[in-house]
Amino acid sequence: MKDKITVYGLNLNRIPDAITRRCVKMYKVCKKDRKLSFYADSANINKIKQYLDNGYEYEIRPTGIKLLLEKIFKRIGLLIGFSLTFIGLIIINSFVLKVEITGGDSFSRQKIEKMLDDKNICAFVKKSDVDCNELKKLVYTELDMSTKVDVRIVGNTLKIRFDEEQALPEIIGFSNKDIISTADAVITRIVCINGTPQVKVGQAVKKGDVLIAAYTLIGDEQVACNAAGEVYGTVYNYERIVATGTVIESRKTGKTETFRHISFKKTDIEDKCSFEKYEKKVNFIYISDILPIYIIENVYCETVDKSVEVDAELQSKLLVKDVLDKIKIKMSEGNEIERYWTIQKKVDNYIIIDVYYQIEQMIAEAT
Amino acid sequence: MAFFENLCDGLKTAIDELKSKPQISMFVDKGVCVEGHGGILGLSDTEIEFKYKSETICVCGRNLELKELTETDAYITGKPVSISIRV
Repeated sequence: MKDKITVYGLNLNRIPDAITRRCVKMYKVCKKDRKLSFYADSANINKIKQYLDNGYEYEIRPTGIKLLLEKIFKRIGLLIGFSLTFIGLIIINSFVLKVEITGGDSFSRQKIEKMLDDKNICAFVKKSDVDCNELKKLVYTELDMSTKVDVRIVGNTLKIRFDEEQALPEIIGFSNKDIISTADAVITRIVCINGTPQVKVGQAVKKGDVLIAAYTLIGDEQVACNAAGEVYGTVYNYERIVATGTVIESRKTGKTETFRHISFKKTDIEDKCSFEKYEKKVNFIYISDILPIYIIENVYCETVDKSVEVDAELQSKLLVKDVLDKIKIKMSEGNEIERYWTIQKKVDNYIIIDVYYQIEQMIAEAT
Repeated sequence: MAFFENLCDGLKTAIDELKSKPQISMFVDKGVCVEGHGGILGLSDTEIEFKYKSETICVCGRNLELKELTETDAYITGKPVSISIRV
């Protein structure tokens, strides 16, 4: 390392001579007006100082790395900031800040995200805690069809890339399967796309009968083909219900027990209630505008079961209505009950009701 | 044959005698190398003077700079024009 020495004065010509006699090498010796400047090795600075202290006005300035270090140490705040940034970068570099999943469809990606959640692999996990090879195996097992999985950490990002195998196109061949009836019915409509219908509208068919055969006629010759189409028919079904003269009703006794809880969530909390049978009422009381704190108030009302005499006729009508509503819910969209009738039998205190109903529904389908 | 032996042969003198005197090499438009001087007497960007016994070696030129200076050797850069010895 070299230092720059500048000497000020009038009689400067003798300085280079005197300094070199002390076995000091001088570099870039330059004299201008009343100023002599030169460079010398830092190791020889003491010898130069010793000479120049005899009445010369001089200045010694470090150069190169020494000057840089001196400047840096003068700005201690900058040094601390730089050091902290450097340490911060080292710390941040040891964490995964982002998980990037690419390839496949959204369903597969969601599966991988769920798997990562289960394994606690998310943002701000340590890089050392992520074993890419193990993760690769897990992705393989999670997605059976995945053929190419690439798991690696690039910078602060955990990149998971997978390409799913494309499903082979389905080759449609002749199945030679007839369309058969799925229920006992009377045929109402036939929509034949392929094949030959074996039944006519108005014809009664049983479950398992062939409705559309898997062949077509070319002249007199039968040629095999796929049977396709839809067949509708009127189907008759029945439901049996039993109505009684008495019903069990739950009645409140008037006794209540109240429990209150403080919670951050609107959750259902079960209490140890002393009543055998009860009705529960839950009230959520929001008590703070700043913090999401709730008071959960559970009110338990004691109830007892009591048998009550009712009109059997009225009861049976209500039950039939209930049954019809349930059937309507069960039926596929577009179907309606065309007709219904009931047969009632009275046995002791009970009324046995058979509800017969007629609907038009699809009894066979093939595409 | 070595450089000094060549010089001795050309100048018809002994090698020891040649080495005991200052050697001055001038490279046109590049600089001057002075070996075996006895100290520096004067310094400016147009003239640099060295002493040798009772004589003065004077290097004149433009933009002269002492690139390196030791007790006996000096390397001068710039555009030297003349070298003279004053008694």
